Amino acid sequence: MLKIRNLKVCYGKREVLRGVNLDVEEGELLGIIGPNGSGKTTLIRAITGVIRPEDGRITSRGKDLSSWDRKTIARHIAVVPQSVSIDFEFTIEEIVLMGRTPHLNGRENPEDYEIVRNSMRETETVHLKDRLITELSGGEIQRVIIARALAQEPEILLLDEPTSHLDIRGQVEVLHLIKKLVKNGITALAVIHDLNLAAAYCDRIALLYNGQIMAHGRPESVLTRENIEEAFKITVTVEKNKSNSTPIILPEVIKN
Amino acid sequence: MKLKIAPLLLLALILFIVIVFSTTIGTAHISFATAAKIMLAQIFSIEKNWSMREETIILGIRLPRVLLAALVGAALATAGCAMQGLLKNPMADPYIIGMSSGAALGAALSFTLHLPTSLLSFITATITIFAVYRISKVGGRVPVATLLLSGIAIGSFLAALTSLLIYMARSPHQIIFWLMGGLWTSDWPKVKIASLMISLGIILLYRYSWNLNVMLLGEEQAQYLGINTEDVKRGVLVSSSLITAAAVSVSGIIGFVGLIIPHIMRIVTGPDHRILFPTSTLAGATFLVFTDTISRTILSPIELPVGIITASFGAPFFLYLLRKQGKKIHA
Repeated sequence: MLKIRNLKVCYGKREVLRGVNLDVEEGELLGIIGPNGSGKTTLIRAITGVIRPEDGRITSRGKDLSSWDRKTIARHIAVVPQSVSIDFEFTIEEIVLMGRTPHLNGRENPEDYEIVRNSMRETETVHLKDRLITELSGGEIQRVIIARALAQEPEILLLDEPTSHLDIRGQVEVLHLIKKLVKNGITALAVIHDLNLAAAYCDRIALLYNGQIMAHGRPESVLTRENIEEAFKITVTVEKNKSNSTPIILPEVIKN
Repeated sequence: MKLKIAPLLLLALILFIVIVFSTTIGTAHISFATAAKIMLAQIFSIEKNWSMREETIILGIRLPRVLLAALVGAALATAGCAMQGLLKNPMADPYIIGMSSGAALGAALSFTLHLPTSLLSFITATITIFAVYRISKVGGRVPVATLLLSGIAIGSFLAALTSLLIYMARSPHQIIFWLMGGLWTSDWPKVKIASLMISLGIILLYRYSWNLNVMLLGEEQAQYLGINTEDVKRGVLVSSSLITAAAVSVSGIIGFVGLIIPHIMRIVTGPDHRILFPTSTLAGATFLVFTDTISRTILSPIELPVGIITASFGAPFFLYLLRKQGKKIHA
């Protein structure tokens, strides 16, 4: 569905993405893993056109995204950004309604509220409707931000480390929710730091290293000891989860 | 976001009452009912039972001043609200990116060169904002922090020039009085020009309410939600500069209104600009009409610059609200 070809992005003189080639298939959850500074967030920024690539092509269903304006992109691709902190006392319903921004022409109508309600139902945030965003826990905020993304009615959902600020229960709940959304037809690309969670939840995984895709494919073919040791510069053992045979990565504990 | 109409109607009613009440205050005594009737007679047909003298005092002398105060108050509060929202900075006011220094230099020049003060201060204020915007532009983008800092830098530079002019001036008190802000030069032509520019700018700003709400979440998130944030910045800056320059050119630099009224309204209504903008507009107008009336009556027949009153009455009230609320204050 989403095809990225030879994508190059620079920040000033520093080349962050150096010819990325990646396909996201319709209806899959693709995990992006890689060490800090490997360009994962930059990839999301480039896909949405928030930063202009130096070179390369990004197409969705064969259409070149570089010719689209902000609004058109936002109707097609929604982003759940890294660590959202909102200091302003908007209610949850107001925050989710902001997801309708790319569809609004003047004032919102009852149909917009219907879509907002559905997004909140899917993310199990309906009961939070009238609470203030400043009062919620990290896990609740993340679900609200996902609801806002759904209110954009996108075909593609990009998530930038959606679980990195959550406790283990929050992490599992959010990934479970993303998995459910993918089952319901959305295509998702998620940057995930936790290799084991990525292995357990993603249909496919791409390993970004040094601005390029070092490996991509099924979790067990990407998360090999050699790949991880080269990309992350640590020693690991890779075992198999007994119940579903997804890989489990155990880092060697460093002792002094 | 369901809009609450009731507070708007209430504020509009209070504004009307304060306007009428203010026109009844002065050396010649005119009752509230008579003043209200004289004004309403301009719109509706009302049987005339007042003297020509009363009509001249209300319509010719007091009303233009009261209306100009309302316009300036509305302009400053709305522009302050827009700047606080755009810069996400609780310290922001309409003057923050150098507007007041630009206008002050124009006014100081006008007294030195004997040119029309309103015109010159409007021109220099507009040029200043244009310069600050251009200087802050890096590769098609205007980062908010750069905008703030270059505004402060250019503002300091222009303030230095103004100080020089004051120091060299033969009658420096003229410039100093202008800097303190006041409405004593009000007349109908000023009301007409100011109302045209200020209502145009306020309507333009209201159109950005939703986008400003979304941009409070952060610029990058707003872009992900389909907003062209550079367009919004430019539009909000142009509109709020237009109304601030118009306000300053007819009244000098009246402080405090543009900083505090939006904060008070935010405590009452929350951060939604769609309700925050109109309530700030109405409350700003009411506040300045009220404080201007005090400034011309408290030491009558001497008139104080209204800026002294706005700060000395407004600041304690704001501190009271701040303590009572016990909340963190956000832009």
